[in-house]
Amino acid sequence: MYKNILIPTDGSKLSAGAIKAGVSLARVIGAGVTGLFVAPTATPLIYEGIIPVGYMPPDEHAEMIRKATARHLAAIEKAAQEAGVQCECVSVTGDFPADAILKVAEKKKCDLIFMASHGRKGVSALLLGSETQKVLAHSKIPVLVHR
Amino acid sequence: MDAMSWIAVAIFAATIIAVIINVFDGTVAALIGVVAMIWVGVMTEMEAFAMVDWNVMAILVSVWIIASYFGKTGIPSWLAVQALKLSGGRAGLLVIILATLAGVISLFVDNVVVILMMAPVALPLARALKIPVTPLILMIGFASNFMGSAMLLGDLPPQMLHSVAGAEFMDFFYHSGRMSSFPILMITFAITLGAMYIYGFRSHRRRTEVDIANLGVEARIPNPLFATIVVAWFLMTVLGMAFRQVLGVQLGFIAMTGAISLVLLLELLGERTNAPDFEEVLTELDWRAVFFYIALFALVGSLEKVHILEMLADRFRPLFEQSYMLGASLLYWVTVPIVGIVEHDAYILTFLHTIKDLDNNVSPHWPLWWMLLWAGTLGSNLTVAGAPALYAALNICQGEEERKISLREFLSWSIPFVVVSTIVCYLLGMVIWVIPFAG
Repeated sequence: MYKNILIPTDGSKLSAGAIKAGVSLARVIGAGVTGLFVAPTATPLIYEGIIPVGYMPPDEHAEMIRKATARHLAAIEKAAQEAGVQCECVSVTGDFPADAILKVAEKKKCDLIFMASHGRKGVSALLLGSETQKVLAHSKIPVLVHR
Repeated sequence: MDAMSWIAVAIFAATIIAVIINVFDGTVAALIGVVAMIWVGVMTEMEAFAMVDWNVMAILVSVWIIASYFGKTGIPSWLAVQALKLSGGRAGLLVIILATLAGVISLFVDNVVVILMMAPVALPLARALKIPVTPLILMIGFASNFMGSAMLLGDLPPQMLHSVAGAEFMDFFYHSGRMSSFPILMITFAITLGAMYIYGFRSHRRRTEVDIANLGVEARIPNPLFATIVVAWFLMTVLGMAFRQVLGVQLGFIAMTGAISLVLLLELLGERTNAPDFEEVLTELDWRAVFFYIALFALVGSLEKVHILEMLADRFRPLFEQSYMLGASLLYWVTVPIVGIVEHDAYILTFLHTIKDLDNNVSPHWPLWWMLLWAGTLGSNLTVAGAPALYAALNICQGEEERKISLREFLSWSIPFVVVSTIVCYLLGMVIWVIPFAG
């Protein structure tokens, strides 16, 4: 069965649910997990979806992103540790999460992607679309969508 | 408008759309547009040939040949190391110095060549000082695109101004009793770089010790004889172009004389200069751009032939007659976003001709030509679609960072750069050029 499950997170509540369920599945089938956070680029402008909502010097923005990355990946590590599941966490920088998820899945030889159904809402969802949909459309390995 | 005019407009529009959407090669699209104009009878093949400003093409190719040798002298690497020393290892300051350097080189050298020249030396410096690559390379791209229009040599738009309006080399410094492109764009450039430093680089103030020996960038010029000859020839050619009216020949001929005599001298000196083969230099020239520009002249010329540009000028005439300042402002601010999303050379050439068709006594041409040139250049920094130099810069960033650069990330650097530069240049242009002529 599956040996290495990729669990991407965007730090949302939906992702938290997917992490819990993904780690449980890994424990049941005896697989390991690879946690992934796709960090946004540290530009001077801070965006919410596609809307610029603030300004921050890139250094401070990078530090903020680094802390957020550590926090989101720690959630996966903690869940895996509690379940006794082997876990490796990675973070990559980019504004195209679906591309990054597929690339990491290939690089880390994952055989299942376990992700939340959607994270974006409103205008962002309309303009940028769902990353889950993009992963479903382009993945060469099975994708399990958690609702 | 008669049927032939409509056909000419349709072919022109279809060609420009094909260039913008980039379904197939833009140069091929432009050449097909010219061929279509000839086959449907808008112009003859001899007229198409005559519409190309071969003087401008001679300037372009000749300066590129000299610039190509310049790129191989090792001077850009040497300058980059000097920039590092000057910055004292402060990353933010280095970005600004490298952008300034790119801007200065692009006064003489094609913008894409500047990017290809500067990026290989800027990347090791970025790694050594741990600066994010993307903003650094984009700043170099913006700067080289920006300063290309400050003088006659660095980019096609000022050469088109020479072609359409007869702007001479020195006119880019001082014209009609007031400062013109070079000083105005230099002031704008300095203010824009200052603003960009505050916006995105001021937090990189910490000094980093860098071992220059292990940097991977050549800190010395490999063959001083070769470098001296190329720089001397470059300067002599520029000087010759500055005194074109005294010499009584076309700029293209002066540039061509400079390029050909440089090639001859380097061939005669042989291994002593260790210069690249002429064939290698020719191979590296951007022939796609050359053919694109040739096609562009013929395409815009065909619009001129069927009096479309005259009609366009007739439509704009009341606007300028009613309020010259408002007309100039509209021309400037409408141009900025348009050239940000479409190829700017075609737009600028079309409107240079359109302005020429206005009545000079009622709507003085020169302020409008300058405002168009500046808006067309500065606005083209908005997206990669506006300027080929930015496309080259973006590709380098993506290759180095091994990821796609999003439009959002690109715009977070380009928008502040364009907003500051266009506002500063607009104010200077209005005060120095438009308002005095508006009375």
